[in-house]
Amino acid sequence: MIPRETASEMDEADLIRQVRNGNAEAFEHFVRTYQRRLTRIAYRFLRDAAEADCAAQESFLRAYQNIGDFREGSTFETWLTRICINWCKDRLKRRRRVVFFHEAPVRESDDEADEPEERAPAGDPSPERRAMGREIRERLALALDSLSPRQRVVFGLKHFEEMSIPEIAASTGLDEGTIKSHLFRAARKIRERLSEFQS
Amino acid sequence: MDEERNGTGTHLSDAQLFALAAPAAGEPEALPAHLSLCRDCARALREWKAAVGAVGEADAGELARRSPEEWRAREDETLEAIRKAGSHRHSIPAWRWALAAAASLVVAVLVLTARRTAPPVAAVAAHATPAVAASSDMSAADAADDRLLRDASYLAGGGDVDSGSGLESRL
Ligand SMILES: [Zn+2]
Repeated sequence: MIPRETASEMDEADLIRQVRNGNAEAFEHFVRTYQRRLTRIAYRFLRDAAEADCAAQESFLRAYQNIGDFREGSTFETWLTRICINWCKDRLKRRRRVVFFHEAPVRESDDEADEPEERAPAGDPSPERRAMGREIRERLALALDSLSPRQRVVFGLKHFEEMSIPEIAASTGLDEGTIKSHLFRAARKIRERLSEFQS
Repeated sequence: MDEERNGTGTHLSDAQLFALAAPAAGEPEALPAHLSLCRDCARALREWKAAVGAVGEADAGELARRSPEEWRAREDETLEAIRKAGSHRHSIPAWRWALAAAASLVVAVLVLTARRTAPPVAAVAAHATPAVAASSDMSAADAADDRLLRDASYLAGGGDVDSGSGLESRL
């Protein structure tokens, strides 16, 4: 759905042709390139690492087995992500969750003090600045908890997985207006919560 | 942070800094003039941008702590599953080959038997019912043979008899 014609996509089109012609090894490129990202996206929905791994693997298998259905003009990544998100939705339905994507995120605030300072901005390890960064992270994490599960997923796809709005739309099947609306409401809620903390 | 700290105007609030660090519409928002005059707020914005990334990582749970080797192992598992699926997809189980061979043998025997016992073509035509003759040039036996041949060819090509061709029941 995203009209991008990069050199790597042309290479991918060639690899897809090879897979269609029975060369399973040509599929390795896609697994090496996208599995990590796909698993993280699945995790945003499922909130369970083992299930996210399963979602990614199953999505690759489905993509491989249905490679004949892939239509050129779309990107393989978007097609694959859509397969994965559909798998996640099916899994969530099977879990019979009353609220879509409802679990609270895993918080590691207790471990944070012991973590290496890789999260602190490079070049400024001053204690004051580290404390400032930690404080901001805590406030932001708390503000995120005020989002609805759906808003949280869309917000995570946009700002944590750095997917564009057209990519999110193509992968989830929602239209761009709906995505923007979720993002707008999520941002408003976070800003309101941050203002409350500050006052 | 929203107190007056210098002479360049009111500092940006957390909400404003967040809006700049994670623009809602996906497009970078115009930076307020205050940012270019206030080092505190410029630094705070950098912190907020870093915080968005860090919270995103924390929100990815244990996946964020996986090493490249662990990711590689997961990828290897996927590739192994695909290889298995691929070999399954491209290989035809032995029993299908056996069934196809048996079906071919039955067809050959039927054809030979029919040739030995069949009356002359003119006699068959004379005895054929008008409906059969009108709808098809094939006799009932020929039609059965034809179905069998198509099934045998379908099986030899890796088709699945469970899909409704019904060869097994006829055999
Ligand atoms: Zn300022």
